[in-house]
Amino acid sequence: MAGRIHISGSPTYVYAYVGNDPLDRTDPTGNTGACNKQVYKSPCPSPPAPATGTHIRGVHTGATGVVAQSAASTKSNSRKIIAAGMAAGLATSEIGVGEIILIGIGVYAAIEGPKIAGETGQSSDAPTASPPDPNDDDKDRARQKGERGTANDDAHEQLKDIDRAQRQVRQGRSNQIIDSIKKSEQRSDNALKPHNIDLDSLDDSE
Amino acid sequence: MSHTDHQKKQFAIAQERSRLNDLPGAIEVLKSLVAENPTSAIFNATYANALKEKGDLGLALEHFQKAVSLAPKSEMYSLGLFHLLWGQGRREDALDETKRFMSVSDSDEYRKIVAAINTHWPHEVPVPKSLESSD
Repeated sequence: MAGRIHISGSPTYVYAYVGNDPLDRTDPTGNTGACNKQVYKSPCPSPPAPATGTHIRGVHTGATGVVAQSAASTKSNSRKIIAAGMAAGLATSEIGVGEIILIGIGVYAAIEGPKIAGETGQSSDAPTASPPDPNDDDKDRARQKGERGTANDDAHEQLKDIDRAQRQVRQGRSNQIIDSIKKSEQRSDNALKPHNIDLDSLDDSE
Repeated sequence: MSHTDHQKKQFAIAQERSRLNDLPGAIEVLKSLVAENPTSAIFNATYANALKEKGDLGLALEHFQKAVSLAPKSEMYSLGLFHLLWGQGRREDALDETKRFMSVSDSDEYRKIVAAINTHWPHEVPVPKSLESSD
């Protein structure tokens, strides 16, 4: 579904592109994290790298598939993205000289829709590991009740069955002989033979 | 619907001829009974059934339809019409009669027939909108 926001993965990895240290490090080029010594006059720790996953220009993908989209590639949309990010309740932070890091593929998807899915090879409809809805059982029961119908719906169900049978024969799928129909025809023919009819009993029923 | 004594005697003759497999003889008597009492559903239905056996399907259909219109809740006449239509390959029309009857009454026989059709072809193929029933 275009525009649908899917967020997956652990927040631990959302700053993986700067070694989970967004205060001390920035990634202005989108290629690698860099120590921000100008701001923090202290040595940076060992060079950062995502624990796993890929690191491509402008897009950092963590182990669980979370994508951090560098604002460097979307500066023109930064304000809109921020607004979308805030609306989605996602974390945003500003680092360095106005560079905005937005977290979560869903934020970008809210702006770009299917484009980001195409860029990252992920589908916006990809299943997510969402917890089971406690109301699912109730929904299932209600749905099953609707399908099976009640005694009051029996006639309606029967008519639906007839409609279905009618569609079957409309499609020319009824050319084979159905034994039960043949037998029914024999019973009908026999029942209507004059010598099998009690005229006096029919006087009342007709 | 009541029948006169004369009609009952005539019908007894038709019964005897039917029992003896004298189809033309039975048809002759039934034809005169329908002419004498055209509003008798059973005369129309038995006459229609005999005509069907003879192979005069057009006239058989006409009299089955008359019988059904005279006694719309009769399963026997309805099934007679159904099987005539089905046998002619008019299976949608036959099922229309099923639908009509089931809307005014109930029938285990029809339930079995419908179940047989739907069981025989359990996997329904999606039908184009243009072919969907309008109701």
